[in-house]
Amino acid sequence: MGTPMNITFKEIDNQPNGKIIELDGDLDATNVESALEQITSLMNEGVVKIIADFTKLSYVNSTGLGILLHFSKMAKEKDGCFKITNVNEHVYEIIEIIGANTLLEIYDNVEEAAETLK
Amino acid sequence: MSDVKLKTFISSHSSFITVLKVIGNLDAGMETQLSKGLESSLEIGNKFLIVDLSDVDFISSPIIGTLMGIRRRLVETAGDLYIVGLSAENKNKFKLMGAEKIFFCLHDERSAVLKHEWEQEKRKDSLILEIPSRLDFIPCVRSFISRVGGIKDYTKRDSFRLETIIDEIGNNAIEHCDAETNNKIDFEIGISKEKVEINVTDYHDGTITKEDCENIKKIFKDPAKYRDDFKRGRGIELVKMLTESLDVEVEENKTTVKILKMKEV
Repeated sequence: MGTPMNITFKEIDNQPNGKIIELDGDLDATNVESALEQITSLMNEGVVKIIADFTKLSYVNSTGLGILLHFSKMAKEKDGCFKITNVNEHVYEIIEIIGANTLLEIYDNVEEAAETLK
Repeated sequence: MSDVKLKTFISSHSSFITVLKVIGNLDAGMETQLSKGLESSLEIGNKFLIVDLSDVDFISSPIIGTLMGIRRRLVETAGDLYIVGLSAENKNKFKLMGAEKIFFCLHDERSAVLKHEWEQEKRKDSLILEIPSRLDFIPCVRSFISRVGGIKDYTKRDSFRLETIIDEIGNNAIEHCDAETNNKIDFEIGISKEKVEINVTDYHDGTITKEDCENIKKIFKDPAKYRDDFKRGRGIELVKMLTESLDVEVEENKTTVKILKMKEV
């Protein structure tokens, strides 16, 4: 049994191959495989422009960050993108320490990230 | 004016602390009587004073002013005045006057002595946790330690960092332990006003070679060099960045990771 983390998917206006994914809970070693499976499957279905909304994501560890980097790499390989939004300050610090802020596309909010897809 | 009794004695929990117990109501106009009681308590020579108000139903505003004045004097000489035993009504009065931000208001004499020892940096609280070597136990441990950090006046950011450290080192211990030989991970945590010391031990079957020991030490010394792939291997690196020191002791049947994290100022 892992830490509860829900992932919900939402459409992005005028972006048939895009989706907003909302992560709710903690992303850690106990649920990273499930997140990996769900988002990889989405990308394999052709949804490669992804905006991840972290508003309700309260915790991420190094394994969680590792799969975020993996999604970003995978999306780019499929001519898409993986953008992160609404990151809380504590999570951002961890991203920054690991140096992932230079590898991930991070935006203040979903609207700002969606704007870059147009 | 009601009758008030004042009793002065040395705390049974610490000879460095004097207790002034007040019995009765502290109406307006009783400031002089209270001041005299406080002065005679200070004559004992301790810089730390507990005022026990557990048998006081009413406290007037000028009395709170008198207590503030005495506290100010004590603080100037590196002492302090703690308030204990406030009723809900009196607590509310302290709150309305902003006095709860000035005084440490505690439940009882013992809590005040513990707080005093903590503030004087003499105290280190210790936690020893033994968990099964299973990943799903780690979230509870990390969340618990983070809350302890909050209770001990560590900032939210520092508490989050503690959560991260426990998570990363705990996961690492589970990944590398020999679950068949000894199905447990030990956490030993010492927390003081200034720092947190964390030891995490996992156990193996006793067949670890000298070469294995050296390899583990190398990984802890320069974790970035030994990152295994794009998705994994950043945990130790992260902990190294969040802490003052990160060491590993490898013995025949166990590995202990030792961490020192200073409190954020």
